[in-house]
Amino acid sequence: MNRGGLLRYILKRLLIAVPVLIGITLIDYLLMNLAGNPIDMLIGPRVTEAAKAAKMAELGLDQPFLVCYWLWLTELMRGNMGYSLMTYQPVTQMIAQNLSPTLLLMGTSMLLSFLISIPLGIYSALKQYTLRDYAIVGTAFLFISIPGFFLALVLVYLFSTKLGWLPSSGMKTLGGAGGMLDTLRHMIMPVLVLAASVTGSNIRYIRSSMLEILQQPYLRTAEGKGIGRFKVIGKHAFRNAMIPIVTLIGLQLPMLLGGAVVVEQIFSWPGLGLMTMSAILNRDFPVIMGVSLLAAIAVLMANIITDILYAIVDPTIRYD
Amino acid sequence: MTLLRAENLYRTFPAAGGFARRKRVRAVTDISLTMYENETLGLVGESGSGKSTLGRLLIGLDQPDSGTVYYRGQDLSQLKGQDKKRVRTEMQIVFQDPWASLNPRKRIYDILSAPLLYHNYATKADVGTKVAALLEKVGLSPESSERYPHEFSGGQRQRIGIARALSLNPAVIVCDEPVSALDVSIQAQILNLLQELQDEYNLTLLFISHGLASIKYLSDRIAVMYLGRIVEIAGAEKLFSSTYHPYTRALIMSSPVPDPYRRQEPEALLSGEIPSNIDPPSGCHFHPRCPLAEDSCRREIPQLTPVPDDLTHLVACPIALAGGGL
Amino acid sequence: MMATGHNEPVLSVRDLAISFKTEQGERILLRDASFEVKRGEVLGIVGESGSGKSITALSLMGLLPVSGRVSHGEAWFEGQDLFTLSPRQLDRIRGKRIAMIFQDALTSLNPVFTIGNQIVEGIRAHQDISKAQATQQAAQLLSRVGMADPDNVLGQYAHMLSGGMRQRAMIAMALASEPALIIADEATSSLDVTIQAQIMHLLRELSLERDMSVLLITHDIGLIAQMADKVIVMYAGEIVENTDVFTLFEAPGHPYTRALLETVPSIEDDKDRELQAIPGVVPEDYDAISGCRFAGRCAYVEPKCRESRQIMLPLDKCRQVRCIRAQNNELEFVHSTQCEASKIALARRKQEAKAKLSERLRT
Repeated sequence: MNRGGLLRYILKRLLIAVPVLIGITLIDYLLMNLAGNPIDMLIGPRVTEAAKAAKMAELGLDQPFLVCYWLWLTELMRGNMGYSLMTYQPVTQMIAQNLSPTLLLMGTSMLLSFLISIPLGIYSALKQYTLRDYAIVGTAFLFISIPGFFLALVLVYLFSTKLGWLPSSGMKTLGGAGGMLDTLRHMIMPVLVLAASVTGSNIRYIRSSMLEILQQPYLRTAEGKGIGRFKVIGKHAFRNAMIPIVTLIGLQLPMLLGGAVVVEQIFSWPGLGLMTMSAILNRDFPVIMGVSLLAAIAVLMANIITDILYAIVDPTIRYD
Repeated sequence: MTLLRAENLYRTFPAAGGFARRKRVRAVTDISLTMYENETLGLVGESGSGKSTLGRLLIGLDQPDSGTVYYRGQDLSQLKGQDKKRVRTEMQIVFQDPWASLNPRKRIYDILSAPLLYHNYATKADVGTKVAALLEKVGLSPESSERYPHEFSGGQRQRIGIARALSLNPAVIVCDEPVSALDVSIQAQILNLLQELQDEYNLTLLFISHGLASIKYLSDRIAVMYLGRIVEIAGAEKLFSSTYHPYTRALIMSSPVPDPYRRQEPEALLSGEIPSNIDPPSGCHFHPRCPLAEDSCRREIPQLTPVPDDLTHLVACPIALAGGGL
Repeated sequence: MMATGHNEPVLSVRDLAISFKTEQGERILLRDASFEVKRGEVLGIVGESGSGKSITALSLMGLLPVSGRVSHGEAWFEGQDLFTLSPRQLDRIRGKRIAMIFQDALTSLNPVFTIGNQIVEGIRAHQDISKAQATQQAAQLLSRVGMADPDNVLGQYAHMLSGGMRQRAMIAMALASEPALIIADEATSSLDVTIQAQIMHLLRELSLERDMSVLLITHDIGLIAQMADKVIVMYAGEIVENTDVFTLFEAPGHPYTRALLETVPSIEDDKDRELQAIPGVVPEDYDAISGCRFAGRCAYVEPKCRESRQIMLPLDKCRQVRCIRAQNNELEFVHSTQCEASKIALARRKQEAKAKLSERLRT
């Protein structure tokens, strides 16, 4: 019966996602058209009106809005997001190329951030009001306060310029053999920068959630059963701490795609952030729209995943 | 003289969770009730009985799905404008939770003066005197008006709530579990205060509680509710001396008497859980737990019928009526 | 583990004092508390909020919050002073020899684990058995506490059960290892009257059946009358009266007890009974009061009451009170008593209850 409830819940969530998805694509298409007629983005100043009209008819752009939308949607589902105005490359291809470096970077930094913030946040809550607690919270605050780019520059100065230990840009050493170790060395600094501020706020959030949990009467009941303090915290408290942690994961999942723009700039990391930045600067609308669509879908997926994780972790919301 | 009359009130609420499931909480089902001037009517019931909802329906704080409430002969739902405003001032309520029912950001003075000024019961000039008088009436010092709610104890806050209810010279006050959240040694203070004020101002009180003892103390008549319906209604003493409905009996037998020589008989205790009021049992809602239940109880909804020798004592149980009092 | 003979108390608390760290510094919120619980006896602790009844219970289980500590006293249980034990040593006793049930079962049960999980956990903490065996035991326990369909309930979560069922689950959890003492802290205060009666009756049956002692903490003197054999009355961090239940209601020794009895309505009252309200409120900084803590509200107060600290002294063979006027025989309501009658009444009540129980078990 438990499994049944969970399955039904997941199905419900996925079903609701479909109209939202359609809505996203509709809004995306609308925005695109607000930016200008697609043809206008392709033509130069010397094309005549007649030629333009002819081209529009040829492409089917003179039809009613919904028809155009439908044509666009079907193309989209075939993987065609248009062509970049700058590079003439298919947008889909550009995104695919730049997606994996970003995922690698953000994924690693998210993982690192949780690996640090979960234990520290919990520990800090357990040792509330002690020196260790203040130290952890203080450090967390410090990292929240330091601007990412500043930290990046400090690290580059220290480890690249002064000490020469780490490369300061790119994903691979130019002209080198490449390989995992090489990529790792390039990754260290950008990952640290990305993880720093997020870890700081995660620690504080997890700490305050944990503090709330520690007040709960059921911990007193558990302790009263004589199961031992370790189990009381490690099993009873921790299991409830999963709920706010899932919240955090859910909020940060979308960042997997787009959270690294500045860092990618500084470290010349060939990811989506870099690509989007230059697209914006160059008014490369097809690329911009492609990335926004992707971002919207990513948020939708992240929400669904989070909702499902909630249902797994918190029985009280499973049986609506 | 009839002050309030309710006819066939129904009230349901959407059940929590699930937009696909059209289940509803049946809070109040087919309730008809009369309240007479100057009386204290007690409303007693457990969780899901609908007593709080009924209290709010009777003074127009909530609208029934169907059915009518008449105040002094006028249909509450038909009142408009000035009439509506006037009638609103005649019906007041004291809430259960003394912590949540006072705005923590306002001084007592603001809380008490606002309704007076709004309804033009006082001018800016004399509202201060009126507020001081109200506070003294409920046993608080006039200086209290300068303080904030959190500076008072639970019992004192409840007094402030009563002062607020009194301020507009109401005819009827609904007291929704007014002492349940208070310490035992304070409860009598509030109960006695309510009694005094009722005598002094000729108030009509609807006293809602889950505690039979305090209901018996204050009430002239008592209505017993179970899962949205009234199962028995009688004069306060009579309800105990000649109980008819098996639920009323169970309620009485379950209330712990502060007398060690009068120990509860386990046989008289009810078994089973209180059913949910989302899907109450068919026919008489009480039949699954009722010691007198017969087949007909599952099919027919019992109507409130007078007992043989007393037209004011009504019972919704044909079997108990036939059997003649417990 | 020492077995206690029938006359030796199961629990013996002496001179207990509990202090809390607050913004105003360290405050002694409970002091000079001494009481005993005999085997198979129900000791009722009655008091209002802030009287110290809850922290007394929590201290016995080592469950005081971080800001509180036992500053003085001993609690002898099965040959050990509970207050000298480390948390680890206490773990061998709590949940096993002493168990506690709390007021709000919804928040006292972990919302993310099933009922079965939580009961089994308690069982396996003290018995070296497999999960399957423990689950079987859990089902039997649920059945004993009157839960319909125990196997189903094992897989449910706390929020899916009604208040009464949750409380039964808590009792099942507490019974798991056959404790000698159960502490019930306002265990039925948030339940409906008819359900409360069921739960209380269940507790009483279990106590008779297993010769189990119960520490019943409540503010409801009606419950005390129904359930308790002995009673201690607490007010503002002190025990003010210690006697048996029959004497308490027939001949209360302390003015607070008397006032309490006069202020609580009963369904047996005549319509013309007047409730005597107790004026005033429980003093907030009661630990700073040097004389009698009830003096501010007492109908019998005299200047000497406020002068010196009141101590607990026996009035006669079955009562102890903390009131100098009562001790000096100055209060007209403290008439000489009925210790013998109470003893007989207690014994008879127990006998009847036991007879009823064995009859019920036979059928």
